Amino acid sequence: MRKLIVLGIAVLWGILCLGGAMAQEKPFSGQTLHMIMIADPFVSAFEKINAKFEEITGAKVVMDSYPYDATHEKEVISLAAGTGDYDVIVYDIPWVGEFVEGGFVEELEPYIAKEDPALMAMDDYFPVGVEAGKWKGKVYGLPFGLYFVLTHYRKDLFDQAGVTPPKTIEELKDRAALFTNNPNFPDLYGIAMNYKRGAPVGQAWFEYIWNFGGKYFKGLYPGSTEEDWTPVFDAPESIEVVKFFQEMLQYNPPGAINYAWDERATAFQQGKVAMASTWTVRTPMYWDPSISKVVGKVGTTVFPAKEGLKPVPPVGGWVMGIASSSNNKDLAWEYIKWFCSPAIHREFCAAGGPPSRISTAQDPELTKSSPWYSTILETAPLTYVDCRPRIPESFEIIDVVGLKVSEALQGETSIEQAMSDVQNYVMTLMKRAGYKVK
Amino acid sequence: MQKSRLKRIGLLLLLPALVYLAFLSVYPTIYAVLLSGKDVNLARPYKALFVGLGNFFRLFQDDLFLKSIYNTLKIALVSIVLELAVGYVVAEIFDKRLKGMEILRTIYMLPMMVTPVVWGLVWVYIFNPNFGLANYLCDRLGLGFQPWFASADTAIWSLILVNVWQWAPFTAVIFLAGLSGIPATLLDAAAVDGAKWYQVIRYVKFPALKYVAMVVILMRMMDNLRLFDLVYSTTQGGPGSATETMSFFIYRHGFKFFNVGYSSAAAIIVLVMIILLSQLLIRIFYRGGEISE
Repeated sequence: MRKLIVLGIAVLWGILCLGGAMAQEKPFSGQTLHMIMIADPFVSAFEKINAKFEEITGAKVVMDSYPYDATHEKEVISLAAGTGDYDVIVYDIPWVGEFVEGGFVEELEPYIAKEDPALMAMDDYFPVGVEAGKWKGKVYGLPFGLYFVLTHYRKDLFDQAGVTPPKTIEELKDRAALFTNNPNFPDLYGIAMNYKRGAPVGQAWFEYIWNFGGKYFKGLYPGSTEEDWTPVFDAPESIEVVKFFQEMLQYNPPGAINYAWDERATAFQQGKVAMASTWTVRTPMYWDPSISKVVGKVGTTVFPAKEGLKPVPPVGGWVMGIASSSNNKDLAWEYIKWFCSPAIHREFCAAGGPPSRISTAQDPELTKSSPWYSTILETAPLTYVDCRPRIPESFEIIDVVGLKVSEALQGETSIEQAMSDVQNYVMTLMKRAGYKVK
Repeated sequence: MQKSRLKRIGLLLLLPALVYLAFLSVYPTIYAVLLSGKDVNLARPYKALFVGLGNFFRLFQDDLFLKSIYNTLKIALVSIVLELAVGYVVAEIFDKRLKGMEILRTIYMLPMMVTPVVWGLVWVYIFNPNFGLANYLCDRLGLGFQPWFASADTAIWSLILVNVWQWAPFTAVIFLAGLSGIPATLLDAAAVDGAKWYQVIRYVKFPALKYVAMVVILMRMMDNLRLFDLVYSTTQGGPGSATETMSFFIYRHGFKFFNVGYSSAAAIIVLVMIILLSQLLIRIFYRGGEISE
């Protein structure tokens, strides 16, 4: 009996020692990392990668994901209250100014400085991504989830019709018309676009404005050095964009007026439309045989601009930062640097994430399974980081554009009146916030 | 002595409820009033400015706010009228106590038992222009393509339809209780006097249901004036501003833009409107001192 007790104690001791050794090996065991993000298709890739992080560090990763507007809402409420609910914050590029000025997220420069430059590989990101995660010259977010809008088209149908993919807005219109109500292509519409009120159609306006030769603030354009925040939402180019949306409505499937990011991508994935310009985060959906009806029939091309203009394809996506109110910043940084490192980023993309590093987009193995990467490499140098505003007022500005454009498309007001309303609204907003306007 | 002690105990027992009320109702209301005098953004609270009544002046020049008041009143008025009509007819049917009615009654209550957000999402699918059930039925019945939520002309009516569908059962339950409360002797007397069915409704049932109806109208009016969940889960105020309601307006400024000062001012206007309208309704119903307590 005594022997048994001694043996029992010995075994217990052994287990404890082993546990201790394991705990030493896994520096964060028993800790929990909370992160918040949008419920975009990359969530499933996150789940795969996070399991690995849990295995290595012993920490548990809890992910909350919400629809677009709700993500902004939850993040601002939690971060403004400083409750420390979240450690890693995944936030949209237009929110960078708001989150930094509100003191919501940590500056990452000191963290980056301490790490091996080869691990951080900042110059391996598309430069526009690094710019996007910066505010007033300092890095606040790592651009792990850089999106570009590519124009996706049905190769099979384009071949059948004997037309080339659209290079200009004029050709886009022409192709959309060709595939709508065409007896050769029954039950097909030309294109699916974002029309839903709010951020969906508001962001669509910003996607096209540069490609119509316009801008939204007088002094904000590539290479600008002047400081002039006078809004120009009532400029002729802006009116032209909305008129274009109105014209294109007839080539969209019925009910497109309520289309947001998911709906326009689903319409293309289900083979209902011949074209869709969508963010690269959704491109893998078209190649996935378990959900897509257009596998093997999809081609990609650079987002078009009006004839004679150089295209400025939309760039966007999500950066990853540390919440100022986090109680576990070490773990948060450990996660971020690991997740964003070139090796793990490659795995993330292999699992369906959007490539944000040049090395990943050029990876021979990945480009074979994801042929659209070549269009990303073509697109990235053409982009402009402020194609959508990144100032603290961005969310409101984009939403107001989305409201007024939607009103105009519904005939509740004229297009000119709608854009003049936006102009007045943003002018008042900018003046109240103390920006230099003329 | 005994009485004052009882009173003390009574107060003591009330205390938890009073504290609860103070924290969750009185304090936020006062705080909202204070906020309404400021131009403040929750994401940049250090930039707060005192603007006095400025937010209120801005609101009454804000086309969207005025539109939201119009939309809300339209939804409230049409919904309540329809809910009363549908609820009454259904209550009459249920009052017949036919076989199997019990089961039907339970099924009919279903819309009321699930939260509006869930129903909202269900109806978004039903009204989906491409694969929704509603357009399938329209197609079968030869009514052609209907845009439902996807057009400014039809979105508000679709919303009212869902609203009535969900809340007419509530009216029906209350009317049913009212109908079963009518003494059989009254109905017998009417029958003996040779009253026609519509006369029975007009002179016997309506007077008996009047006060029940008042409660229904009051409650539904308050609910409709702060209609939010249904709008949030279906149209989000769109297309355009076709279904912008007052509550959604407050939410948009408060929780999308975090202009909490501006949205508090709007919330206070809504509060005052609800109080005034309900007082007005109560006055109308009490007029002539018909009510005996």
